[in-house]
Amino acid sequence: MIKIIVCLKVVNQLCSERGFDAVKRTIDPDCIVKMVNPADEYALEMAVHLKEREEAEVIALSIAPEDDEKLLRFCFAMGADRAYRIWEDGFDRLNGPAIAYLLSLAIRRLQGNLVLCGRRSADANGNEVGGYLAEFLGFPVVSGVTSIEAFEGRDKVICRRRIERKGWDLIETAIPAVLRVDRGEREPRYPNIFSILAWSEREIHLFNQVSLEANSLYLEECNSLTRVLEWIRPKPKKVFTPKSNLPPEERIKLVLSGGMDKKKAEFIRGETREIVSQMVDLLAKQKCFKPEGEG
Amino acid sequence: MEKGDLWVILEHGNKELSDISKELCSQGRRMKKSHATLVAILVGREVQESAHRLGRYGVEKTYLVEGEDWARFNEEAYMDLLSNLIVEKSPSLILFGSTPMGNALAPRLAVRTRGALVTDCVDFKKQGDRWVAVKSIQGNKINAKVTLSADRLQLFTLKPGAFEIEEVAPLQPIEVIPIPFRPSPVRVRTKIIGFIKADPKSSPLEEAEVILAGGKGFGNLKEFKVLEELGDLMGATVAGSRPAVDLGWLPYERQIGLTGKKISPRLLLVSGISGAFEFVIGIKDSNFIIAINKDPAAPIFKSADAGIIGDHHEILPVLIETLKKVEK
Amino acid sequence: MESREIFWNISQIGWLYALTFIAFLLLFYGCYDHVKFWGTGRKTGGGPPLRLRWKSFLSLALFQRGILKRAYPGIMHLFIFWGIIVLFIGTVLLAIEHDFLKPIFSYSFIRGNFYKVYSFFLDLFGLLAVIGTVMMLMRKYLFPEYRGVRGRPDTLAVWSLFFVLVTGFLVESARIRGTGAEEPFSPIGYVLSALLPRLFDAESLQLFHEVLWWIHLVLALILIAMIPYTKLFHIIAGSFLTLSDPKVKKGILSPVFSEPLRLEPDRLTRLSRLQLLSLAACTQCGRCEEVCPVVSDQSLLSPRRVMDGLRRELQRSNNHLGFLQNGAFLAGFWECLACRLCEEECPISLKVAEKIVDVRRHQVMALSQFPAELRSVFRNVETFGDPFGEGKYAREDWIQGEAVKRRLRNRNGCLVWIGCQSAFHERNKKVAWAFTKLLDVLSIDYFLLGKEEVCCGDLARRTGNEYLFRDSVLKNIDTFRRYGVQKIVTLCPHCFHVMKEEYPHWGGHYEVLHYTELMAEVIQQGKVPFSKSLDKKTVYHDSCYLGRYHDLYREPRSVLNHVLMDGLMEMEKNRGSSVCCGAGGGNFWTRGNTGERINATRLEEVCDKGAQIICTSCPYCLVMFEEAIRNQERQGLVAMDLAELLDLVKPSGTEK
Repeated sequence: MIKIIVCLKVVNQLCSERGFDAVKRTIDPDCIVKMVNPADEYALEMAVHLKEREEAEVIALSIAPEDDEKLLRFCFAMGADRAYRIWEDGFDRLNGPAIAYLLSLAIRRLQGNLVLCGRRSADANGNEVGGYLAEFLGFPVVSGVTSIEAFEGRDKVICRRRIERKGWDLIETAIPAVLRVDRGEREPRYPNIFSILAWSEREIHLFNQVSLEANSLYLEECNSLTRVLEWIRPKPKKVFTPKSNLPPEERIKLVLSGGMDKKKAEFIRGETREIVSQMVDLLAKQKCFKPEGEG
Repeated sequence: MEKGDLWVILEHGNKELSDISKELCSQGRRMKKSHATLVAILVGREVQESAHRLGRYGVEKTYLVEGEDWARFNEEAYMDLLSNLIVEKSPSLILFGSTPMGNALAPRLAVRTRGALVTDCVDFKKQGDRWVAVKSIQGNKINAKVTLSADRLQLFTLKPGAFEIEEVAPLQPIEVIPIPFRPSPVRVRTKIIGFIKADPKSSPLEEAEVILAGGKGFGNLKEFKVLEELGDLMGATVAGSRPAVDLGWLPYERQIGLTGKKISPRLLLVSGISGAFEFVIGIKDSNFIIAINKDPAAPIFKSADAGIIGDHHEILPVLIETLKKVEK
Repeated sequence: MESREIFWNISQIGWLYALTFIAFLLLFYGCYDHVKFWGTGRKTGGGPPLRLRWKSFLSLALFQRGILKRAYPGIMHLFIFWGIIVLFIGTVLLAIEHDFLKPIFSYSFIRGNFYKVYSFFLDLFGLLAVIGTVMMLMRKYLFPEYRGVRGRPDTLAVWSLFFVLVTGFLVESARIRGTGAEEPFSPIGYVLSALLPRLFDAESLQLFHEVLWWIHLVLALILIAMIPYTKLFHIIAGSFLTLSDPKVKKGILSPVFSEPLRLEPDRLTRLSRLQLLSLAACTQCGRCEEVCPVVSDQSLLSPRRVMDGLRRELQRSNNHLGFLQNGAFLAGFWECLACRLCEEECPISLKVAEKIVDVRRHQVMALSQFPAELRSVFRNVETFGDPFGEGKYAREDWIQGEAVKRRLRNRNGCLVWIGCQSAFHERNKKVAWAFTKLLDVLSIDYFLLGKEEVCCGDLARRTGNEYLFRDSVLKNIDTFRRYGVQKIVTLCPHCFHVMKEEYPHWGGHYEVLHYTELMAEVIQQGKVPFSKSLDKKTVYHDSCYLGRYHDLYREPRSVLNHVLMDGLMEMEKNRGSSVCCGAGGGNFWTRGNTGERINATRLEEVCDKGAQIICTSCPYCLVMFEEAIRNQERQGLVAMDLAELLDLVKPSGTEK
């Protein structure tokens, strides 16, 4: 029986840029919302859907504190069979490599054949853990998987990866493998109440450094590879530079407003031809004039 | 410690170097300061020519890997090649594009070489003799400054479009060094076994980078079709507000708003829509919004980056005409 | 004459007893079947006090209050009902005397003056019953759009009834003639008997009498035996229902979970005993269908068909909702507005809308099947705490001034609950602002919870997501506890309803008012410096939750009449018959055209009156009407909330 391990992360998503105080460099906790990383949910849905068609077991794995269990349980109710949680004091400050290291230890211990994870997390935007996992585990990795077709014998899996607006690549990979999911073809299902209630009581097994037999020095090393110093405001969006028919004060005002605060549309008026020519400039600047078929 | 080379891992389209590669080279040049040489790694089938032209972006040396084997990006093969090259040549900093290729290679190489990686960088700041990467997080709402641990191979993937491309006059001709490398077939565990074509019009709205949204202001289906023509020309997806869907001009999958989809395209062109709350709530995550409306007081302008006061019935056909001419 | 000879001219009386026995056997057997079926229903503990049960029984069953809402069918049914009852009682009295009192105690009472009165009443009510039956037959054949009598069993029953009554009179008249009795106090029989000599001679009269007597008996027994197998069963089921399930409080849904969080195994898959009883009591009269705003060519929903379909399918499946897997039954289910017009119109107040929501619960919680739009709504409430997905952080955006900001979480006075619509929706933010300004002008002490508010849960409950509802309720109750909340004034009728009626189940007991109640109170106390200064033609739209759910009709009107110069105009369909704005039952979020279509019709009504302002007191109604006005490009008509209206007439001198 194939063991599918789905790695889930509880993310702290910033609702709005207003929650970020650029001067104090802090984030207002009221503006943070906790949720399971959307990409991970697509991954779990993919796993559960596969389980419905092939003989498989879905194991959910997450590095999360006990407080996050309620959120996770609701997610597991989509159809996970077993769940494991890795946690210890201090694990709230893990970076990508450390996370991947711990996950890989658990995955190896659980003897997973297929590892599904979200490609990037909505908060940290790492876009890296899947790749790290592949190396730690020695598995091949496929990114951007949008659906899993089927197993091919006992040692291969066929999956699809969507190429935007063109179609799908059909990819065959040897298992065990890591599949990274951005957005699946299937929307994550809403769990039914029986599942929710069952999962509200089921045990979530715990791992920590000791039970994973982690090398704490190596973990420390991984965790020190990268470190977030502080948060800063993003550079203002490239402002629409108006044509010279506006008085200079207006133009300066536009450039200074930067676009971070409340949007204020600057108006183009005039003859249709004039308008259109400005529009074409704008479109070109925004690099969105790209007809179909470009290699 | 002697700093090693600064590498940029380039990507090549069918006929020419992709934009991201140019960005990588330019940024590499800007970051080169204390590194030995700016080296480009160029892999592909027919990339000789491009390799020689890299000098104008500041590249000093190119490792060229050419051949039929390298026609398509194959992760395992590239990993093989790059890990071997890294061991041989010991660079100290590598830049990748934050693209499917770059994001596939960078993390794996980081682990293999025990290097430190920061992905999706939009900027770099100097701190002493080290670089601090700036990456966008939280759905592009804020940026984080990230340091890497010293005396490790530094790897970065760069967000496409975040860095300026600069052309310079090269001081010396570029040194192109062909690297003969055959990927070991045994190691290939993943392969693309087919391609399934999709109707370009059926792609989900969430994917679309450029969206044209139309509403009741178009009056009837015939007028609305103008938007579709524009969409075909621009390679944009056509969507609409609830009235457009209720009137049967679009399927429900194309509805934007409170009871439809929340979209986040790079560019959104809104015409014939007044901008009521129920619609606007779906477009807030758009990168750049252009609105066309006859009425300067229309609420849509509160959410637009650029507002055009005019009649879309007149403007859009002229826009189509103009774009057709530009194409030629 | 003393009394009448009961079995004059009738021999082989043994058959009477035999046939009666068989008929009652069939009756009890059929009823037993029903009772057994009801037994498969879930038990729901407790219930209203006896006093209320009797009140309901008297009002609906005996006095027919519900049916009499419509004149013709009301009178028709009243006559039939009371006619049959009196006749039945008469027969029973006779049987008691003849089979029991006389043989055992040699006692009889149906004689002398009692007999005269007795016979008179029997004749009178018999006549009423005949008139009623004839009215019913006329309605069936001349106005086929009325659904009351449809199908062979029904038609057979009505015709049988007619002939039972007619033969009864004929038999009586024949007896009177045949025995030469003088019974002017049995008017019908007496009059008819005078006609008989022309038709029959003495011998053939006796034959006539005997034959008709047996026909009369057989038809009556057929009717009795038929009761449990046809719509006639409503006689029994309906009476029981009014006794067991009086309409105590309207529009309250029973909880799904028991605490601590547990789901009884059958909770989602079986209906309760009371619900099964009510399905049996439905006579398919179709009044609910007539008034339901959703029913039309463009919708598959019909409350009547829901009742009928549920009853049939549940009987087939022995009370198991599993048949819902077959989607066909659910056509139109999500279009229900939960406006309860059907329940109000129903002659015995059957809870039709409640059943639709129960089915939704099954769909959502057991099968996870619901309209796609609700998915993001549920997600948003779960993650962000509001259906818009804006989040905690934006809940205080509607506040513009420092004075109101100081009211945030300062625990003085009553809590003003803003709700999601008024906090996030651009149009409704203005109402929140207008209302708080009003409170300041009136020097009413209040505080706001702002970011601490989480969706009240009504949306989740009406769309069947009870799990989410419970979650929201518990969160809010916890917040209320932390802030020592005792009195709540809400802007939105939906919040009002759940907090008042449904939060108590989880221990949340507060004094809850809708703001119109507060305003009415204040005006009554004379503390308001408003004058009758608004001279616009204004019409008031009763929202479903304030109106039908809570009968709050007087309060908003008293406020409006206080400020409108020419008084308030009333729409034709007002108060209890006011038509939903189209946003209820989750339809604000689900895509169907239902909402807009219904709204358009309602708006026509408004425009017909030539109104300039349509005043509402519900944020959903406000948005719906504004949208309709905009879509239809109605000039000169504006939708406003009551609070905004009051804001307009504030006496000058107060800060804006």
